[in-house]
Amino acid sequence: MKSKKFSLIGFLKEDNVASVVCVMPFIIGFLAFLIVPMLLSLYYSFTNYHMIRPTYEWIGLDNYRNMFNDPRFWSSIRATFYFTFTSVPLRLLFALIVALLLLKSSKLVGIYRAMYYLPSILGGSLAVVILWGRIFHQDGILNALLGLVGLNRHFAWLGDSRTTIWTLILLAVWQFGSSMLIFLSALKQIPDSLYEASSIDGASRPRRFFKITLPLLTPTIFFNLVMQTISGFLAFTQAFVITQGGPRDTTRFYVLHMYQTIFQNQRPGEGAAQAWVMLLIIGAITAILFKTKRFWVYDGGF
Amino acid sequence: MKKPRIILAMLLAVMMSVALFGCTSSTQPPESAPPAESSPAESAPPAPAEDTADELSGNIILAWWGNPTRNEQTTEVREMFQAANPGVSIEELTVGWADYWTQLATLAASNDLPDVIQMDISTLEEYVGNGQLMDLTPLIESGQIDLSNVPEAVVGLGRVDGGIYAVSIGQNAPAMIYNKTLMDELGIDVPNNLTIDQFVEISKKVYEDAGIRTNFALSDPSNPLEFLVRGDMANMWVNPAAEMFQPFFELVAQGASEGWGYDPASFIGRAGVVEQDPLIAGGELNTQSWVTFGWSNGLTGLQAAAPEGVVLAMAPYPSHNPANSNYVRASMYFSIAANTDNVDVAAGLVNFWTNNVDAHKIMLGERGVPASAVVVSTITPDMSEVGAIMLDYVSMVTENSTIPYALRPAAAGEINSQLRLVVDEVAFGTITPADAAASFAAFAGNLL
Repeated sequence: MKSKKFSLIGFLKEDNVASVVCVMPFIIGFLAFLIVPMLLSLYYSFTNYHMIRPTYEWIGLDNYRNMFNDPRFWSSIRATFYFTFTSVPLRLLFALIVALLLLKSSKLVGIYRAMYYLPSILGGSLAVVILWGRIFHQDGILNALLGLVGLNRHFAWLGDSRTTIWTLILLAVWQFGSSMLIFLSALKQIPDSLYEASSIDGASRPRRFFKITLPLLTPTIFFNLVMQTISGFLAFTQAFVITQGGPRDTTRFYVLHMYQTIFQNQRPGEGAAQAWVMLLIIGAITAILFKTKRFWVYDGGF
Repeated sequence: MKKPRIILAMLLAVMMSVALFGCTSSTQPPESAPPAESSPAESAPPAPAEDTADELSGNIILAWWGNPTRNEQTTEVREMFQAANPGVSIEELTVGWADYWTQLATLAASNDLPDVIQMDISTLEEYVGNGQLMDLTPLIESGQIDLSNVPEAVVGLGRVDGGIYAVSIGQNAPAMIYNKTLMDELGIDVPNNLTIDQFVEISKKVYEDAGIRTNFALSDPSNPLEFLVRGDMANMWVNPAAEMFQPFFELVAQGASEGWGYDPASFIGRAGVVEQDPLIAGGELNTQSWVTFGWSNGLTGLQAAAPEGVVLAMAPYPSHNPANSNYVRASMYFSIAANTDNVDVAAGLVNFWTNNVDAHKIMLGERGVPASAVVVSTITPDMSEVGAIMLDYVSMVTENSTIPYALRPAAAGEINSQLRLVVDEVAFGTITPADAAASFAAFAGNLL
C-alpha cells in the first residue's frame, strides 16, 4: 500500500512528467479555445454559414470573392491602414517622451508613473469611450472651450470626414501607458557608464540621446512597434461606440466591418473569411517589419 | 493549510446559491392575488383557456427589446401571469433594440432561442424562412391562443406563407412626430397627409424663421423611402428600380443644398438614442429638428423625454398619394420558438398577453394599440392624453389606408445599412441623387 503510493508520487515527481502535467492547463486551453476554433473558422469561411439558418453547405471561394467585390471592404481597409499607420508612430513617440521624463528619480515618480499608465487601463472601457465621444460631440466640451476663447464652436468634429478619424487616433495615442512602461524599463537598463564616458568626451545631451539612448533602445522600439501595429489593426470599440463607422465609412475599421458582416448581415461564413484575410495581412506586415529589422535594430552585435 | 481552502469553498458555495436565488426569486408569485374576477363580463376569458391555465407548469424564457418603461411594465405583467399560474416560472431576457438582434441571432445559431420572442416585421420572414419559429395555427384553432376578439386584419399581420407565426402585441402606424409648440409659435399649421411640396414649404419656413432644420432621412431612411415608394403602389423590396428611389434622394439633396435638411455631420453620435433625438435634444438651433420620422407609439417615449413645455403632435409622413402610402403594421409581435420545450406555457403567456384586460391596464398601449378589440375598448377610458392621441391616430390611419403592409425580406437589414451610407453620401453632396438611386437599386437588386 505504502510503496504503491510512493511510486505514484515518485512518478509525478519525475522531471518530464511534472513539467507536462504543469503545462497541461495551457495545452488544453490552447487546443480547445484557440486551435480548434481557428480551424473551425477556416472551414466556415468556405461555407455559406448563416446565423439563423440551421444548415449550411460548402461554397468554395465565394465568400472571398464577395468580400473583395464589396466596396465597403476596401473602405474598411483604407480606414484601418490610415488609423494604424498614424496612431502607432504617434503613440510610440508620445510613450518615449513621457518615459524619458519619468526616468528622472524623484519622490513622486511612482505616483506619476501610475497616473500616466492609467489611461491605457481606462481607455479600453466603454465609459471612457462614450465620454470621449461626448468631448468631441457638436455640443461637447471641446466646442464649449473653443467658444469660451471666442472661436467657432459649431464644428462637428465627429461628423466631418477630415476630423472624425483623428478623434479616434487621439484616443489611441492617449493610451500610451503600456509602451511607456516597456520603454521605461529598457531605458533603465542602459548602463550609466556609457553616458559617463560620453560626457567626459564632451558629448552634448542631444548627441548622447541620438548616439547612445536611441540605438540601445531600438530592440524595444521594434518590439513595441510590432505589438502596437497588431493591436492597431484590431481596433474596434472606439469606432463601434463613437461613430458606427461614419461619416461615409471613413472610420469603418476592419473589425467593425467584420462585426457587421457577422451580426448585422448574419453571414459568419464571410466574416470568417475576412478574419483569415486579416490574419494574412497582419502576418505580412509583421514579416515586413522583421525583414527591415537588420537595417535599424541594434541587437548587441550578435 | 487546509482551512483557508475550506473557507474559500464555502464562500464560493454561498455565492453560487445567492446567485441561484437571485435567478429564481422571480418565480415567486407576488402577494397580490390575480384580480381575474374584476375583468368585465363582456371580456370573460373563454372556458378552455381558463382550464388549461390551472394546469400550466414549467419554465420558459421571455425575450423582448425595450426601454425602461416597457421593461417595468413587462415585469409586472409577467408577475401577474405567474400569480395566476403558480407552477410557471419565467426568466426574462431583455436588451436594447440593436443588441437584441445580435443576441437573438447568436442564440438561434446555438439552437437556444428563448421560448417566447418579441418579433419585428423586419425579421419575421427571416426567422420563419429558416424554420426557427413555430406555426401557431393549431394553437389558435384549439383555442390555446384565443384570437376571437382580434380583428381578422390584425391576425393577418402575423401570416407568413399560409401559416400564422406571430401574434401582434400592438399596432402602430408611421408617424411624423413634430414639435407642436414650435409650430404654433411660428404660426404654421401641419395638416394630416402633407404633400411633398407642402412638406418642403414648411421645412423651408421653419428654417428661415427659426433656424431649425428638418431631419427626415437620417433616423431610419428606409421608412420614409418605403412610404414614398408605396405611393406609387410599388414594393421596393421586390423589384427595386432607380426611378422608385430618385425622388427620395432628390429630396435629401434639396434639403442639403437649401440648408433646411438636417446636417448628417451633426447626426453622428445621436443615432438610435431617443434621448438624443434632434427633435427634443438638439442643443443649438441649427442642430435641432422640428420633426422626427418615427412611429405612432413612439410619441409616449418622446413626449416623456421632451423638455418642459414642449408639446409634441403627429401626422402621417408626406406622400403624393397618402391613401396608398399609409399603413398600419404590427409594431411588435410575440412568436414562439420552434424548439421550445414548453408549448403550453408559451401559448398560455401569449394568450394572456392578448386577452387579459388587467395586464393591458398596466401597459396602456405602450407597445402600440392592443390586438384585441375588447381590450382596446376596455382600456380606452384609462388612457392618458398621449395614449388617446395614439389610439385616434392609428384608427385614423386605418381608415385612410388601402394597401396592406408587406413584410420585409430577410436581406432588408443589409439593404438598410447600405441605404444609410447612400443617404449620407447624398446629404454630404459626394454623389448626385441620380447616381445614388442607381447604385442603391443595383445593390438592393443583387440581394433580393
